[in-house]
Amino acid sequence: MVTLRKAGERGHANRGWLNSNFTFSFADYYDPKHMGFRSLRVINDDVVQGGKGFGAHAHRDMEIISYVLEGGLTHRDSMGTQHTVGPDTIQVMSAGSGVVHSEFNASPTEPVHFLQIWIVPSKEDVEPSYQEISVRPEEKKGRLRLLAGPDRVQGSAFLQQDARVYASVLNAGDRIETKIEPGRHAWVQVAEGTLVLNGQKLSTGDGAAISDEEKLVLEGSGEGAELLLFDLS
Amino acid sequence: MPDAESIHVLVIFSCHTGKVERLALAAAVGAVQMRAAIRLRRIVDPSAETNDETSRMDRDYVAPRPEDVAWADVLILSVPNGLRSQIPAWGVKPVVSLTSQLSDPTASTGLHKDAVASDKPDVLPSRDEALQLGRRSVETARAR
Repeated sequence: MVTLRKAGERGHANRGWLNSNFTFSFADYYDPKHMGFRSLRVINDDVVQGGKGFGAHAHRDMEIISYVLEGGLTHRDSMGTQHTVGPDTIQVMSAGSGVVHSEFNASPTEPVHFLQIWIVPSKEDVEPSYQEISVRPEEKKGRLRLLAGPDRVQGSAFLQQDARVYASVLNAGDRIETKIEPGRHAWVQVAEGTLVLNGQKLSTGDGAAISDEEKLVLEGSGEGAELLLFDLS
Repeated sequence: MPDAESIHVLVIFSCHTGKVERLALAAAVGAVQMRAAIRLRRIVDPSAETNDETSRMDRDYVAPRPEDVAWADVLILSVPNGLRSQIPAWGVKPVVSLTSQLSDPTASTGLHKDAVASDKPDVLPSRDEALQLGRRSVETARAR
C-alpha cells in the first residue's frame, strides 16, 4: 500500500529568516495523524536566509541527518565539532545522552535549503557522535546511494537504528526497481522534481509511506528528481 | 517533586574568548543528560574587545529575557558581578555558579541560599566539572 503525503498538506511555518515545511508534527505544528512513520520521526524542509540559523539548542536520543540541497550549513556542537556541509556531504549527529549544537547558514547572503531528518534510535543514552560523509553527484545518478544505516558498509554513516537512508537523482527515463523485504516498510521523500512511484506521480515535497509492498519502482519524469528513500523496520 | 522531564535549566554566561562558552555548553549537556530542557543565553561585556569568537557568539546567542527566567526552575551562571544587573531578577530560584565569582553570595545578587559555587575560586572548572555541575543543577531543582 502506498499512502501519499502531499507537499501542500504538510505543516508550514514562515518566520522570515526561516521557511519550513513539516512532513510530520514538529514544534508548533501538531497533527496526531502525522507523528512520524515507523522510526522516521521528522522530515523538515527548511530554507534559512543568509546569515541566519538555529542558535544553540539541545537534543537527546535522536539520530539527526542534515541533507543539504543548496548552499552550506555550518554545524557547531558541544563535542567540539565545527563543520560546514553542502550538497555533497551528509551530516549525521547521534544525540545520544545529550548534545547541544547550533546550525547556521554558512553564507551571509544566500539562502541554504536542506532537509533535516530525525530517526528515533533503537537504544537510548549512547555516547553522542558526529559523522560526515562525502557523496559525489555521480554516485546518486540513476541509482540508490546508501547514506546511512546500521551496517557500516559502502561508506555510509552509522545509524543507531534498523533503518537505511538512500539518496538518488533520477533523470527522465531512469528507472530503479528495488525489493522490499517481508516485514519492512519504506518512505520516499521527493526533495526536488517529479517522479513516478509504483505508478503514482510525486512532485517536490511529496512523500509516500509504503507498507505491504514487495517492491518499489521509481521512475524519473519531466525534469527529473532528487529523492530520499528510507528502508524501515 | 517535579517530574525529571519537566525541569527547565537556564544557563547564562558571559564570554569573549570561547572558554567559558565551552563550560556553559558542558553544563547544559549535563542538564540534558538528566533529561532537563535547557536554554542558553549570553551577556555581552561591552568593554571586551570584539573578535571572531565574539562575532560568532553574538549570532549564536541572545541575551536573557524575563520570560527565560520565568521559564527556568534553576539557573546556571557564569557572569562577572559587574554584569549581573543585565540578568532579569530571578527571585529565590536556585542558582548554580559555574565559576566562583560570588563575592557576596547572599546580598543583592539575590542568590538562593542553596547556591552551589565551584570548589576552586577564580579558577575555571574542567569540562567534566562543568558537566557535573549541570547534572547537580537538575538534582537541586528536583529537590525543591
